[in-house]
Amino acid sequence: METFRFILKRVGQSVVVVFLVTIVVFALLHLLPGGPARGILGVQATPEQIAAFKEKRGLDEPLVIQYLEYLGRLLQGDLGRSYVLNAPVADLIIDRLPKTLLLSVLSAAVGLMIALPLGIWQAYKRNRPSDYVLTSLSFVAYATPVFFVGLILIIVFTQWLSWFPPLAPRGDSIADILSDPQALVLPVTTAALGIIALFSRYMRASTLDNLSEDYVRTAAAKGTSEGQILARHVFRNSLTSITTMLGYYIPVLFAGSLVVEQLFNYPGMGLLFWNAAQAPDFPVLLGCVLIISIATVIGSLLADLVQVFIDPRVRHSS
Amino acid sequence: MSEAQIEVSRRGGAPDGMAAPVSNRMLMWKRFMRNKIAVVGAVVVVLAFAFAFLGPLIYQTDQVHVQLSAANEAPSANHWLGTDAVGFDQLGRMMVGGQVSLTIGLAAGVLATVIGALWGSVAGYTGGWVDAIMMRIVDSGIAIPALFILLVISAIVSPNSLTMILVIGCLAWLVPSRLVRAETLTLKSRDYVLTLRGIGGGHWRVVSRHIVPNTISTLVVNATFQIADAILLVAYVSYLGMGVQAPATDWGGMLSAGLSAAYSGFWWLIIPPGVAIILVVCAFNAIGDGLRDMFDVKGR
Amino acid sequence: MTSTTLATEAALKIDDLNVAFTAESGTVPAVEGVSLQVAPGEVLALVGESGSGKSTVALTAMGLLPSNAQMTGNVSVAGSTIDVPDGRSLNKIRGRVVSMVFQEPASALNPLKRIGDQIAEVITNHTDVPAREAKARAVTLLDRVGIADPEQRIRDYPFQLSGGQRQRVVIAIAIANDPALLIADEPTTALDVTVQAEILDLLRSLASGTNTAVLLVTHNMGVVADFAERVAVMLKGELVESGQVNDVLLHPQHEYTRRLLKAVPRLRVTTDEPDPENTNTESAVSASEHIALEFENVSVTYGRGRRRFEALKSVSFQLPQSATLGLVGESGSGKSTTGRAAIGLLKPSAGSVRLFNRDLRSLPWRTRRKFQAQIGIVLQDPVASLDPRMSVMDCVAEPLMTHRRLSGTERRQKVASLLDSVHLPAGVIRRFPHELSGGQRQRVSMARALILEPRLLIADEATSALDVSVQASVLSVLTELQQTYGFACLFISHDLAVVQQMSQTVAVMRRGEIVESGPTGSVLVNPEVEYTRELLSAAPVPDPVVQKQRRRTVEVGGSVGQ
Repeated sequence: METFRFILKRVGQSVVVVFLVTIVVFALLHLLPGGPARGILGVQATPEQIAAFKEKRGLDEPLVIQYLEYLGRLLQGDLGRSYVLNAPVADLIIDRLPKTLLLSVLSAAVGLMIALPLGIWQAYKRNRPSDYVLTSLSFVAYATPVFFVGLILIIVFTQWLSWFPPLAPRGDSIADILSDPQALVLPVTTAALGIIALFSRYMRASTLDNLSEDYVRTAAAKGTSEGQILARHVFRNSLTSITTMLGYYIPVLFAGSLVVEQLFNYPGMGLLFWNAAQAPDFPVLLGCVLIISIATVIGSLLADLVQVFIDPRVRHSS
Repeated sequence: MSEAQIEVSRRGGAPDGMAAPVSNRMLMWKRFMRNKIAVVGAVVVVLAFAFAFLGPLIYQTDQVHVQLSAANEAPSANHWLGTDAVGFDQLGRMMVGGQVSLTIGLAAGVLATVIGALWGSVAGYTGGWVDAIMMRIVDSGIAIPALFILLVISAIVSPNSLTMILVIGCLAWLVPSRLVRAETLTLKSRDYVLTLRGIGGGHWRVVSRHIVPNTISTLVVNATFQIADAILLVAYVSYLGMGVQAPATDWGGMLSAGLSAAYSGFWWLIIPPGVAIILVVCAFNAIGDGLRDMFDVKGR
Repeated sequence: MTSTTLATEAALKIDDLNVAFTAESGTVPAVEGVSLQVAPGEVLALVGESGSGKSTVALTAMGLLPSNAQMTGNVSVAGSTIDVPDGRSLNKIRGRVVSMVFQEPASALNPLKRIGDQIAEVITNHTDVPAREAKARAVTLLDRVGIADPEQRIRDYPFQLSGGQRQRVVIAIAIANDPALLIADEPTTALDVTVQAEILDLLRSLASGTNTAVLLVTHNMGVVADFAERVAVMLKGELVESGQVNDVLLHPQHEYTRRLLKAVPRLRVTTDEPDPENTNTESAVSASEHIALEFENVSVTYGRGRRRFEALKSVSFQLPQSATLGLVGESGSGKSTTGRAAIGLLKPSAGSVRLFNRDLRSLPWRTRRKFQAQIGIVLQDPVASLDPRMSVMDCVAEPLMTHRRLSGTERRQKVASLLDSVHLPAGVIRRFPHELSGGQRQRVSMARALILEPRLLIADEATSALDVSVQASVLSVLTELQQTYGFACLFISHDLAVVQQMSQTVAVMRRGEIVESGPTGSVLVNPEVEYTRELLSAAPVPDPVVQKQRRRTVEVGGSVGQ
């Protein structure tokens, strides 16, 4: 019952946040020079075209009315029409989103599978040479732009070694993409490196925080060895803060996939967004922003729900 | 209070009747200096600024006129780091680009921290529904990835240094606002604040004498990390081709320009700006770590 | 203990132990040349104030010293040597031969694991039993430490238990493998006095039934008198005196032990015993025309709807000018809420709080500020009471800055004279809080509270965080200042003895209500309410003979009651 109330409350908060996001996106549309008319018609539109468009779309009406109409269209799944690709933005995004999710989830999974054990190992070997080396490496990796990493990887593995192709797999479906795993290696590695750098640091810090807790001393007083303490007690307790961090990290993950998709020419939302930014194709840009924001909200909601299962205190109280 | 806690809280303190002669500032300075990585970071930052802003006085190059006849030259005595695709001297370009990267990073980082501090402290100190609304706004801001918004805005207005500073500053304040709010919430219920409120001390006094001075250290530490993040963000935007417009450039833009040349083996076009970004970002992060240890604050 | 028992293998044998910590400012010695023994089945109390090194000795015996500690000397538990600080070879000994009960039951258990699993862990660590068997034993253990319904409770998480129950779980873990030595480091300090009595009863019954020796580390002489057979007194890392509890507590030899025992506030249990401390008993009660603080049916509620919680339920009392009202109660009784409502930090949901015959909340803020200037406040935590970024001068002068316009020199003079009256050396004026000890900080708080010469002082657990000797001096300064300035005092404390010493009238609080109030002499000596009696009998007195008698009467009374 308490769990249900908690989930309900968090879902409610998320709805409020999504609502605020739509206001921001709507505001951006109206910030455009020439307003939404130019944004939708394109930069080359003539003043006459704009005037006609305004009248037709009711853009002379008060902003509140316009916003409500915008919201109404959103609820029907209408995100506008790309004037470059001449297709509904919603269709474009529905085609690309799964591919971006595939890339993101794959690199997050690979990254975390390496980062978490690495962070624990560093905490276990704290202040020894191996910890220093790994800490320094992740420190540098954190400061390295994703595209620079990708660039170096491309030069090394495609130019010099020719192990992998320089371009990501192309294809219309997820199955097509997965059928060429070799071409996925470099994009996934590039995106995963950033995750490893960041999350091994978090995991190390979180593990060290937990190691200084009183319950660890109690466990030691039971005769539990340090390795067992890490495995039985500290790992799970550290995961609670890592899940929260993961929730915050989702926007960064999308930003990373934007760069990776651009770099490797991977047909996801990032590439769609980048091409739209070059044009510029505002309906696509704003549609992407909206969808990515909603995905982020859902992601951090999921992170909190996972928390409910890890931490009994959230489950019973709050 | 437990014995252990008292023993811990007395670290640096003194038992009854005894005097501790070490001053607060000396101790903090010592702590910072002992963190060698942070000191190295500070030196790197100073050198980077000197390179970008004083360097052109010594190593003078033409960064205005395109000279296609001298494009893509390898490093030589004339051009220490070679030339780029339109014949600009690469070392001179590094200096000009550095000015843009460092200025935007520094100003945007500070701006973001200031906005975040104001927003967070007002929300935390006021509390109640004002706090709830303000923090929901922060939540929605965090949900919109900054890089995407930045690209949309760059597509609307053609960016220069000033607009980049303003836009990044207005996007990156969310995280510091959360930190400052949390800090304000704790400070507001500290015993010394309650005591002051109880004897009739006003809000202004509480804020100016207790809340602000006690959040300064958090802010300084956060600003350092913000600067590092802002430098990276600028690099991303420029790399994606939406940064400051030619002939102005920054390190990210140089990398973007050098991208195609990388396949031709013109290493001098990508390694220097890449290394410069990594070095400076590392340096600011190291300073931040050092300051955090020095002030003993939490966060990040 | 006789020499024959010492001849058999000691449960704990410490020989010339030295421990030092490497800190930022250099190496700090914590224990110097300590030797002691605990025989099987014996209870030895290690007492001392903060910084005496008693906890360090306990951690050494567990091999749990932090990595920045250096140790010399010999420590052995039931014949097994404990020599490497934080060593791995100790894992076979810890939890089986020697085990430990910690001070903070709130944090001693892993918040994310069921308590049954946490108890089972210590069993499976040392015996090769199947999980089912370990779980069954966990149930038995929970039953043994007095937790009702153990089959159900092993599935609970720590946050679902009260502080006392958690400490019982920690004790269950400690006794699971019948260790030769049980170390209890301030096992009851974080608990309320009635819970403390229950835990001490439990420990006593567990210790008497087995051959397990107990090393009890505590600062509380009452606990020593209640539980221990022998006692060893530590001062600044050294052992200054040891012997049978009756000898040491009744006829202390060392000068420090005498001073320590004298500083312990004692609860008077009979009316005929003269009160040496409380001198102004009669004078103040009569001068009751001027009421400094009055609560009239004050209620305070937190939260709304289902989470609504009534922190105060229709509380009424009067505090006459120049008098002291003691407010006692356990945690959650609402005594601190009362203090906060008195200074206007909390808004009553019903009833009225009247300061100097006026309801502050009804006054315009300018007049209200004038009245607030007549309040002085001292709160519990010596660390959180002073802004770490302000010098002592600025801290003490803060009320002056908010209410008076004085020149810099006048202000400085005023602060200096106040510091003098709380017996702080003039030099502290330029220091920062972190350079002062806990007792000094509380005196700075007191100087700040009194600088406007208030007519009412609110002292919320003002000395609770201090060592007894420091507490004694701070309390005497408070008494002295009250005689000089004649302010009324709302003295909030959980310590009955201190309240008895400081106040003429007393109100006993429980769950947001005043259950009994009246002159201290009658309420705390001949209480009429059962709860007050319970509180009084739960607080152990530092006299082993008297304490044994009291315990017997409680036990007899308890069995009659059933």
